[in-house]
Amino acid sequence: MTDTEKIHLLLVDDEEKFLKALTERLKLKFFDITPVTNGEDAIHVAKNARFDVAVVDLQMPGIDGVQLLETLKKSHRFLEVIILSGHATIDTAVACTKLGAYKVLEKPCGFDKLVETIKEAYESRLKKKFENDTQRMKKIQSLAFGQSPLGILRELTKMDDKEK
Amino acid sequence: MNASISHELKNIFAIISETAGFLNDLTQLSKQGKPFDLSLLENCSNSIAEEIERGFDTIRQMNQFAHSVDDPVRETSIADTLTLAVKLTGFLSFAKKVHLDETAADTTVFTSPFLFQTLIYKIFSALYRALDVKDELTLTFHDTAPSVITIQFSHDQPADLDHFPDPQTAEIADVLKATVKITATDLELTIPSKNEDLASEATDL
Repeated sequence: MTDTEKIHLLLVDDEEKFLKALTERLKLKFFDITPVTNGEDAIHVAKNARFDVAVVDLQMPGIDGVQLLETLKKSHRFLEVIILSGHATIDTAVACTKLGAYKVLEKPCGFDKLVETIKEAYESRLKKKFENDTQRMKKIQSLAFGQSPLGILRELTKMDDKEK
Repeated sequence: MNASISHELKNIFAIISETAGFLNDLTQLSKQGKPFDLSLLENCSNSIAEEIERGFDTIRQMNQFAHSVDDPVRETSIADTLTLAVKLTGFLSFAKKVHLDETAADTTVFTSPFLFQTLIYKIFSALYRALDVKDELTLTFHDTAPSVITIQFSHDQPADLDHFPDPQTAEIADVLKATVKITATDLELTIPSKNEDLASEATDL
């Protein structure tokens, strides 16, 4: 990975020292990190910036990890979310996976394993986005036949609305 | 309770692990001749030392709770029980700020310390979950009638405690002859200053 193709990472954990140490380490691996200590701030920053992957703690005051996962997946369909928690059980892992979590990791998780998982999640995001773009191009091509320019624009707007 | 303690220990290990890893990263940078701010080294070693101390504190609190089963019944300090419960529940990430009024600090109850501690822990857990994240708890305790102690858990915002006490907590309260009364901004626990049934059972042992 080079400086020009940094993975934009949202890191959410209420344990500030853990957040700080992990942020410093991940920066050295050329990730672009936005660390926040709660779910409310995570939702706020995600509205104003594009993230490829989010690493989210499960137990947090206010909006917890499961609620945050649900909110982020609804508003950012290509964002991959990794749950990192000291409180994960099989039930929560299953629940998080159903809600669209890319993976559930248990704290303390080896740094190399975390980095590897983030990279895999990023690849997954790129693949989903690519597949979506390919489908979109196919639709646009099919629309181009027998539609007026205004009709094409209307159909594109409908497609964009569905993708939000 | 064990789950919250193990959660706390996992957090401590995670911080130590990442901080030690960062120290290793800095060592590698140094070997490669790349400059870095030396204060980072100091921050890392301080952080590791603080987390080790936090780990010791956690183990001390865990031991204190574990020893509550040593005596089936005994004279138990209300202030000490509440203080330990505040520390133990402080591991819960949704823990709120707690103010303990120790005006009646020397108040004691003759009861099962283990069950009493467990009941208090369950009350804290339920309140923390029900209260708004910014709400705070104020604890007061005093003799309200001859041989009865009242512990009041007051908060500013109304809390939804419709499902409290749950059956297990109700059973513990029953054994302790304690009653739980809930209003919009208060949870009131009353407990006899001497549980005669538990006392006679202990004498029979």
